[in-house]
Formats: sequence, C-alpha cells, structure tokens
Amino acid sequence: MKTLRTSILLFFLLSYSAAHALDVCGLYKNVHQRDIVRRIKSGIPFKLLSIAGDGEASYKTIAHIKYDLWSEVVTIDDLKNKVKTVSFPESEKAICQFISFPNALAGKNYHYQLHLNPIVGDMISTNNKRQTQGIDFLKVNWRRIAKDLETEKVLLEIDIKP
Amino acid sequence: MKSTSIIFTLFMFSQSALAKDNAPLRKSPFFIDGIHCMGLTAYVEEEQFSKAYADADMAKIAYKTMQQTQCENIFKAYDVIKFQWVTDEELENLSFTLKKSNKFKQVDISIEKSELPNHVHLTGHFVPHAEKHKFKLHVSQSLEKGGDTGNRSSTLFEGKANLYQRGQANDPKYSVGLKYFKTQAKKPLSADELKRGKNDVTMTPEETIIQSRQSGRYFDLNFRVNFPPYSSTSWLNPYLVVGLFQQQETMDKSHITGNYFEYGTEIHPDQTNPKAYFGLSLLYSDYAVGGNEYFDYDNESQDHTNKNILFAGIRGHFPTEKFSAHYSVFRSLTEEMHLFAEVSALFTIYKQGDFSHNIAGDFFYLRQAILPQHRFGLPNRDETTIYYQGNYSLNSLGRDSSIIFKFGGSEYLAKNNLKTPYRRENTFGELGLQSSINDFDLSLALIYGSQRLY
Repeated sequence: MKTLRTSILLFFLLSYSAAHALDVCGLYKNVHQRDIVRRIKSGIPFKLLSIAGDGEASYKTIAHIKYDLWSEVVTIDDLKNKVKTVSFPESEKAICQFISFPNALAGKNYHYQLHLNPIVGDMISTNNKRQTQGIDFLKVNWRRIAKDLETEKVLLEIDIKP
Repeated sequence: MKSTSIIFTLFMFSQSALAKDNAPLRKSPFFIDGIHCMGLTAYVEEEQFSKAYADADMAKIAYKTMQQTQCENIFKAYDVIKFQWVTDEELENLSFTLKKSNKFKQVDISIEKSELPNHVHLTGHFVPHAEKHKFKLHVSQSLEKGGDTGNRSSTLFEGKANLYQRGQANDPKYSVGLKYFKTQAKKPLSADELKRGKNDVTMTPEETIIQSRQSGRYFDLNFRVNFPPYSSTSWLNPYLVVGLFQQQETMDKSHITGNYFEYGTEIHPDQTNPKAYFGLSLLYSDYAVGGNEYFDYDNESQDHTNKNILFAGIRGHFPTEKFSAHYSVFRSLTEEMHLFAEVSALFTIYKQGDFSHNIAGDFFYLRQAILPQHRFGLPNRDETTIYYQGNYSLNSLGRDSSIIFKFGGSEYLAKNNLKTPYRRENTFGELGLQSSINDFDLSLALIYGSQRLY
C-alpha cells in the first residue's frame, strides 16, 4: 500500500515537473525586444510559428498577434480556441507562454525554431481545424516541415533541453 | 482579364460599397486617410530630377508630387488606395504580399492613428535593391547522327545583358540580346539523294531543298527598353524591342536580312509571383529574301524580294514551384496568312532533396515562319517534343548550380496539300550544366540526336 502511495505521489510529481517543460521565455526576451516590439507597434497583425522536435515527436503552436492602436492592447490568438488580450507591457510574457510547450517531455533534446510569418498558413489552419474537429489522423512531422519552411524570418533556432 | 479577376473585382467593389453604407458593421475597419513612403529616393535622385526645372521651388514641388504618385502606385498595384476601408486581415495580407513579391530588398508597412477614430495613415518603409548589370550566357553544341542522311553539328550561342536591374524580380531598364546559330552538314546530300533515301514521302520543291542537308547560320541582335524603368511600382510593364536578323544558307546561297519592332505590355496579375505575366503586343517585321536556287530567279537584279508584315500577338509566362508554362501566339494582320505559336510546359513530378524529376512538352505551330529562330524558309509545319528533364542541384559549385539532363522524342510534321506530307521522328538526349557566378548566369549543353535537330 505504501509503495502504491509512493508511486502515485511520484507520478504526480513527475507530471508536475513535466508541465511547461519547454519554456522558451528566457530565449524569447531578446527576440521580443529586437524584432517583435517594432512589429506590434506597426499595427499590422502577424504570426509566430513555434516548432520543437526531437526526432520522434514534434510540437508546434501558433500565435497570431494584433495590436489595437486606440486601446493599446495586444490580442494573441492561437487560431484554435485560445485568445488572450493584454496590455502592451504584458505582451512579452503572454506571447512567450503561447509559444512554449507545456506538454513537451523533460529530459529530451529538442531542436527549437521560432518563425515569423511562415507561408504554410493555410496548411496550418487546415490542420488546426482537423485537430479541433477531432480528426487528427494525420500525424504531422513539424520538425521536417520546418526544415523547408518558407518564412519571413527565422527569429530563433536552437537546440534546447528542458 | 480572367473571369475570376472580374468576379473578384466586383466582389471587392460590392464589399467596399456595403462597407460605406454599413460602416459600424465592419469587422475592425480602418479608413486610410493617407499613404506615405520612405526610402524611395533611390529610384529618382532629386538633384537629377531638378535639372529639368528652371525654378528650384517648382522643382521641389514637382519632385514631391512625383514621389507621392510613385508611392501611391506601389500600393495601387496591391489594390490598396487612399480613402478606402481596409480590415486588419487585408493589411496583414498586404504586408505578406509586398514581402513575398521580392521587388524590394526590404519592406515593412505600418499604420499610425489619424485624427478620427479608426482612421489611419499607411506608411511603407522601403529599401530598394541596388541597380546592377546582370548577364546570361548559354552555349549548346549538338551532334546529329542521321544514318544514311549524314551527320551534322550545330552550335547555338545566346547572350543577354540586363542593364540596371534591381534584384531578380524587377525588369531591367534595358536589355541587349544576341543569338547566333551555326549548323554544319558533314556529308551534305543533294535534294535528289534525300528523296531517294528512306523518306518515302512527297515534298514541295521548297521543302526538298530545305530538307536536304544544308549548312548555314543566323544571328539575331535585339535591344529592349522597359517602360517605366521602375517596374516595382507598377503591375503594368510596357516595353519596346528593336531587333535585326540575318540568315544565310550556304548550299543554295539563300539569304534573309531584316529587322523587327515589337511594342507590347506585360500585365503582372499576381504580385506574389512577379515573374508571372500575360501580355499583348504588336510585331512589325521588314525583311528581304534572296537566293538563286531557292527562288529560281533568272535575272540577277530580281534576286531579292522585300516584305513587311504586321503581327498581333499574346504572350504569357506562368512559373510556379511545381509547374511552369510559357506561350506565345502571333497572327499577321496583313492579308497574307502568317501564324506562329509556341506552347511549352514543365511539370515537376517528384522532388527529393537536391534531385527533381520533370516532364516537359513543347509545341510549335508555324505557318509561314517569320523570325530566324523559326528557321526561316522551312515549310508550314507542326513540331511536338516531349521529354523528361532531371535537375540535380550542385550547391558546392555555386549559387543556383545544377546539372540538367533531358531525353525524349519529337515529331516534325510538314503541313501542305500533298498526299503524304514529310514527317520525321527524332529521339534526343541532352546533358547540361548551369551555374551563377556573381552577376553571370552561365549554362552549357551537349545534345545528341538520332535525326536532324534543327
């Protein structure tokens, strides 16, 4: 009984440690100041595509970012079901949360890329729709796609171990 | 204009009309109060521009007006004009399309608040490509093994200088093109020998002479001006080509000398694909033909004939990643029927790493050929070629370097009123190499064919 209790405790502890396993906030800080602030202030909406892969599993997330010049708030949308509106100073933290991967497994070596305005927009939208409709039968290797991805700029490319 | 474009335009008009009537219903609308540009001074220098004006203040006003017009024309090419409503999705699309067009080295757009709510000023920050001269050179050498009709070697040389070009996507201000072709029969056959050979067909007297193994050469020199020179500010590209050509055939001593003028306009419907266009043009050609055997003139003084013909034509080019097509159709506007058409298409069927496999086809339809590259004097004919093309990228050799190999077959079918018109089938193989070194694009090709290639 004691062993079982310890195992359950250990399982929850491990699960907790795996949450936000791939947190890119530290890396994103410089990118935000260098490229993103200017982009937001321009008032033109844009997309960020965040991709991490370890050869077996790959993860991707999108942040569509809009800035309202009058109310000075930033709206971040993952083009699925998550939307967040924050003030401009809070945008850095909010965006980095959108582009991090809470489900990535700790201890693995990931190749991480952050793309600005990728051109596979339609494909991503279609895939998002599939996932929303529960028909994600097609497993997409985002790491492979990222290799040949046509994009406006690769903002970040790094090997990272959570 | 394509029907889809008309529908799209009507849709846009109806949308903007609806928007004006029901402004509060619009989703995140912005009304563009003004359009501004930064970084366009490279196109026309103020000092150079002012020379045309006696008064300095007047020159300044004219320069600013010219710059503003140029700026608004850039956005107009992307369907954005002053005093219109746009959504933020449309602005995002505009930003994407401008960047994807590759017409500028760098481009960013931004909006700023205007005096009224939801009213904005749209600003483009441009960094134009530097003006550069770019050169292209292509040399191909072919060897034909014609069995009992003898061998032949031919050389084709094509050179092109694009002068004052900004990047790859924009047209150059001027370009000069040169084409030289020489063909040498190793064991020329007489017309009678050819008739007695395997080709058990009937030929017109002209065809008989032409199909015998003649040696000859032609050259074509042309100069093209693109109006306006700043094609990155417009979706219309009017141009003028002036050219001269000469063809000589050594066996029957025929020769053709002439010149041509082409005025046309290219329309670029898709700004994200700047190389794609369709165009309309007028082609005028004036030439003199001579040759004792060919025309069978008794009198030396009548040994030439002058002609001038006006053509109307369409051209188009549509390149995408997996498919590219090119076509041109020209028909004479004069009484005598002249028509030449060319269609070529290439499909990429499979691509893996540095290797791409393509299937391509060319079709020529010629009635009274007019330009040297149509092999002046050859009879009315249809020519069809289908081939496989493999491209292997050699990045280690330099930018855009690749090995190209082709093999396929072609059919030549004479079109005349005879019962069994001359018909020829041919198989060929080609090995080519292309590379870019600085501002030079070089390509070489070796061609081997079973029958006459040219």
